[in-house]
Amino acid sequence: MKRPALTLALLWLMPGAAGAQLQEIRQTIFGMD
Amino acid sequence: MRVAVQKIEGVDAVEVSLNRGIVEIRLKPENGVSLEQVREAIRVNGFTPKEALIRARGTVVEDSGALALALSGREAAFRLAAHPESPGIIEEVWQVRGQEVILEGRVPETARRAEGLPRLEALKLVRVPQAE
Repeated sequence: MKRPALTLALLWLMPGAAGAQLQEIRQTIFGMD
Repeated sequence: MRVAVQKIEGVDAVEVSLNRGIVEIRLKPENGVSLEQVREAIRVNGFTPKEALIRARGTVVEDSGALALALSGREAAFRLAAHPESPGIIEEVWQVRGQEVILEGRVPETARRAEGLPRLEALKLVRVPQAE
């Protein structure tokens, strides 16, 4: 059974994640039409 | 669009290629930027964001048998799955639970209000030296 709320709660309690982040994004786009 | 994305706090550099249909974004260290923030900036400029390839540094965590990559900032976490081109990577990621790693992978196009964590289909795992 999926429990996203619990997962998020656990993640907020994770220590030592200060250096964790997105570094690069290569986003595909479509438009403008 | 380049200006709108560049305005997001934490964005270092943006390159837009309309011919190829790609926006490439480099982010500053310690940024709190989320993929959804970037996608929203693209939407308000009249374009539709499709899939994205990302590189992210985070901590591999486990909950109820599933793996996630925990980040700081607005992007709280990605739920991890294997990219079809790297079918064995989940076993590799399983070995580094609790550790900080860099993961590269694909985030599919999602609805604006998708439920739960966004899915990251992992392609490549890079181990980083662990802090004491």
